[in-house]
Amino acid sequence: MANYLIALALVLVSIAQVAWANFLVIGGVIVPISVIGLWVVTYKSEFTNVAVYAFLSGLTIDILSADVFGLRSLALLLSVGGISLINNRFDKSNLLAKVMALVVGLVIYQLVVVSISLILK
Amino acid sequence: MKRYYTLLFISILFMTASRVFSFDGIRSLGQSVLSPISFGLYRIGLATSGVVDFAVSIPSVYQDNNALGEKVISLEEQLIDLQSTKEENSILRQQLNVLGDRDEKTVLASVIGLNDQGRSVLVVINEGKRSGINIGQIVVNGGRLIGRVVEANANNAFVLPIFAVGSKVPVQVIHGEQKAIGLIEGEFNSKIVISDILQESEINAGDLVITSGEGGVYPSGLYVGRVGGILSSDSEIFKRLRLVPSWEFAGMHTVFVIVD
Repeated sequence: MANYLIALALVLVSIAQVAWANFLVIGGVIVPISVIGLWVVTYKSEFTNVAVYAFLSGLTIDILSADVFGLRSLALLLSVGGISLINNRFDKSNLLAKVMALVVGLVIYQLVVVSISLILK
Repeated sequence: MKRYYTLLFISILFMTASRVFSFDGIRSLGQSVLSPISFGLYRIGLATSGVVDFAVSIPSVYQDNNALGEKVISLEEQLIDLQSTKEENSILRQQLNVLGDRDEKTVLASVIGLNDQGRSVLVVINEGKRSGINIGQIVVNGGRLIGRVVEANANNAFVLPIFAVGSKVPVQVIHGEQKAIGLIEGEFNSKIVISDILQESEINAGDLVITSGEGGVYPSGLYVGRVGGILSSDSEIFKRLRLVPSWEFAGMHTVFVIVD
């Protein structure tokens, strides 16, 4: 039951990312709150579950966007992959490691979205 | 881990397939379910941002009140000049012959959100191909240029607003009887600059900016905004100007798509 609730919450966060995009612009870049949501969940759930959440969140954004279908799913999956890699290397209670994992996740997401959008358009 | 790689593979498969199939059916179905939630969240966002802005501004309300009092006096003085400005405006309209009433078929649409496109952003509207909206059509609001439709699904469409990165609109800057041709471009999805203006062109802050119609993408005579200031130095070949757009996105709920 908890898994379904987490998935539902993350889908809502993904919809909010699209709906609130104009309030989430920092330095000309829209902050992907879905990555932040998944980053929080990586400390509560198993990685395989987080991967499913990332895929569902990405699909939600893909449906609501005009981008290449599957791009956001791929970006979020790679992003949670990066976050988990950092989490596995460092102690999960280490605050610096947590911040680093979030930064890595955000950077991977933006890099994947921007680079693939540029390549495919 | 196997599940992770499977999902990665499915995502890449979707991306590859989307080069051949448009996924319009899936998107239409998904959007008909998700769009109302997105619209609701968007409205909540607008309302919340207003409340937050008000809460933040409370300490400065007293100062603002005083400033407003002074402004009222200043505005009363300006009212006296209004009549002559109106006459001047009427003469300018006749000279331009472009800003008069336009006779185009339009479709009314509601703004339901912004769509993050990596580098640029797109405005999402709740009307699509079913209402006659297609790629390339121009989006306006009361004669003011908002942007251009770049993607259209059955029930919604995506508009590249003039402030988005990648948006380029040929414009003319009206300074008295002189007109300077330039190009407006979005910067950082929040600012708009006017570039490619010849250095010798005489331009002041407050000059009117309208579409020139060059290139045939945007019709001529749509109100874009006013010159906010000059960004370039005199030594540069072309002038770069800051544009103050004629509208604010935060307060925009409805737009018109020119479908004619």
